[in-house]
Amino acid sequence: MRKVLFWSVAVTFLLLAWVIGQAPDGKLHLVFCDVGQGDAALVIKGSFQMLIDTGPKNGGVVACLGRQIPFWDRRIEVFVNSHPQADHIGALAEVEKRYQIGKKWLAAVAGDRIRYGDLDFDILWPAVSDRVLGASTDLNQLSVVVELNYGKFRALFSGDLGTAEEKVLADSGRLTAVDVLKVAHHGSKYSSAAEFLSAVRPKLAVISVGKNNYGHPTAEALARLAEVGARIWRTDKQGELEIVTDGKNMYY
Amino acid sequence: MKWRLAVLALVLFSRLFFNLAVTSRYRLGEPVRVRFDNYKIERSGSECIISRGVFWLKNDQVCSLKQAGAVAVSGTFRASLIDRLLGRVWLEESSHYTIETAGESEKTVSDGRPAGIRGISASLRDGAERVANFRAKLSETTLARLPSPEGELVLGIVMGYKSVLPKLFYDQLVRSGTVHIVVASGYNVMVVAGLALSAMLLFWRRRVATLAAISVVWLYVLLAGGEVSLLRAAVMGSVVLIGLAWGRSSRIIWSLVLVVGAMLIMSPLLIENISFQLSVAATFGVAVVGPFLKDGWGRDDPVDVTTTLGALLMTAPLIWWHFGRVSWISLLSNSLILPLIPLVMALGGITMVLALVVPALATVVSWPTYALAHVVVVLIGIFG
Repeated sequence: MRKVLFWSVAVTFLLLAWVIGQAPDGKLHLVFCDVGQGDAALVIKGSFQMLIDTGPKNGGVVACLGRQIPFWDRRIEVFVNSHPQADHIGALAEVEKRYQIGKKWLAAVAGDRIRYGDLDFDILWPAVSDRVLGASTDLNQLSVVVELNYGKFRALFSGDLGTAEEKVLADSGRLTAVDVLKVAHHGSKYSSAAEFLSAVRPKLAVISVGKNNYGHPTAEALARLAEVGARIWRTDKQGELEIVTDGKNMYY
Repeated sequence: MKWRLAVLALVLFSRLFFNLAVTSRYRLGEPVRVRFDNYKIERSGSECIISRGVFWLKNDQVCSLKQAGAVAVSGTFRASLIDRLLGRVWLEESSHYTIETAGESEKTVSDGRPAGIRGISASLRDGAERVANFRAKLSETTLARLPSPEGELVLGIVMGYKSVLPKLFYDQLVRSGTVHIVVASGYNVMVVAGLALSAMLLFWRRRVATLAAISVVWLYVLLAGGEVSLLRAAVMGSVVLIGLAWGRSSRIIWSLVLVVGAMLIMSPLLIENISFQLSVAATFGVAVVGPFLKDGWGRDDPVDVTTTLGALLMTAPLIWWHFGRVSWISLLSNSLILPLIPLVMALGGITMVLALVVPALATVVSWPTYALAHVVVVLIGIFG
């Protein structure tokens, strides 16, 4: 009987240590999962999680979620899809097998806004009229652009947006300097326009990319990013990236 | 002793009589056209083997076949049949066989079984489908509670679900020499038998507990997909468990010899089958080596470490011989990881069963399951 008591106490303590080890720390965690050629970013603060895109099927997003989300939390509060292409939403079914998704935001438009405590998500693109009129058949042009504000920290997720749309956004004057930029379209040369980059002046540019036949990330995009002084993180070379910030400083 | 001889005699009699009676249907060199549908393709060196019922064909052209659809093969029998029940009819690789995809044709032999038996196999298929659905449900509830890759690992260990493993994790398993833990094998059956018996002994007398443990073993086999190798292991395990409960322990080895002997008489080629060897070794470990270790240890053994150790000691050389690159890494990784497997199986199994009955409780049990599985994942990560 004593033995049983000893072991149950020991196991309980181990489990407690485990739980405390995984418990959220109140800071904002911004994770760029390594999902091969595709995008998947996770915003975590406390028990709140927002997943922006899932990457391709079997790209490894569920393993990334398994590492980043505490094991007892089986719910992702918000899912945002930038645009419905396989390398951005292909693993949604896998994710839904594992986690409940609170709100699915599949067709956000400029002006939409989500607030969670001191987290502020603003949608900058596409305009309502683009969606309603179906002015474009290119899904990339309708990529949802999300701006995340937390204290002084600012991050921009630009989906697969192309240079033409980037220039429109830059001209609108809505863009401000950001700490972290999710580089559009895996570093394609038809994205990351110089005008756009000089408007957002990212400190850190994250390229979510894997093996591909398109030459992503292209030398042109990399050169333009270097020109504005951005440090570059490539998920194909450096793997998963976790940025932690308290709203003032960020480290990764 | 008498009843053992009687069983042996019955087995011999039925083999000789029934098999001779049925095998006379096929003659050597007789041209035949066999329709394969729902066939299995197995690779064997540069050639592939497809099989359907008793008919087997081996050559390099069948490698290109897709798993789905049907093919018709015409040729002659290569050898006269050695066994009707578990044997194989090899088709001659003659030049005039043709493979047609989904080609329906007359006078094709389906799988050589009489109509009556086909009726039984149809109802078996229905049952199999139900089991498959149940397995899918178990897998679903498990994955909803456990993150990746711990969830997949638990599924693999408990039910031998290998296909759902993430690629990266699977590669780590291969590199660390521990991939065998996610394959349902005779070893798993023996671990289940040992665990179930220990658990049942807490509540009941030895004989009642043994019967309960045997039902658990058969339930497990069903859930793990009911493959022939598992069924074989379950037969062996049941015979040995019964022997342990009713016979004197010194005679247990004879029960094993009897059941193995009977299986080999039914199908002599089994001796070169790896999973058969593993089942025999694991059973021998549980039934003979385990108790021997327990006597030698001479101390309390509440979680039945000696039984697991017995199975481990006997199967390890075979695993290393057949699968292992015999490396220090795999020796080290296995000796660290394998002792945790029975616990993962027990906790994972409890989680799955509870998920069907009391979902909330299953979630609570899934936490220690996750913790343990996580330790295994970390260890595999270190060695892979």
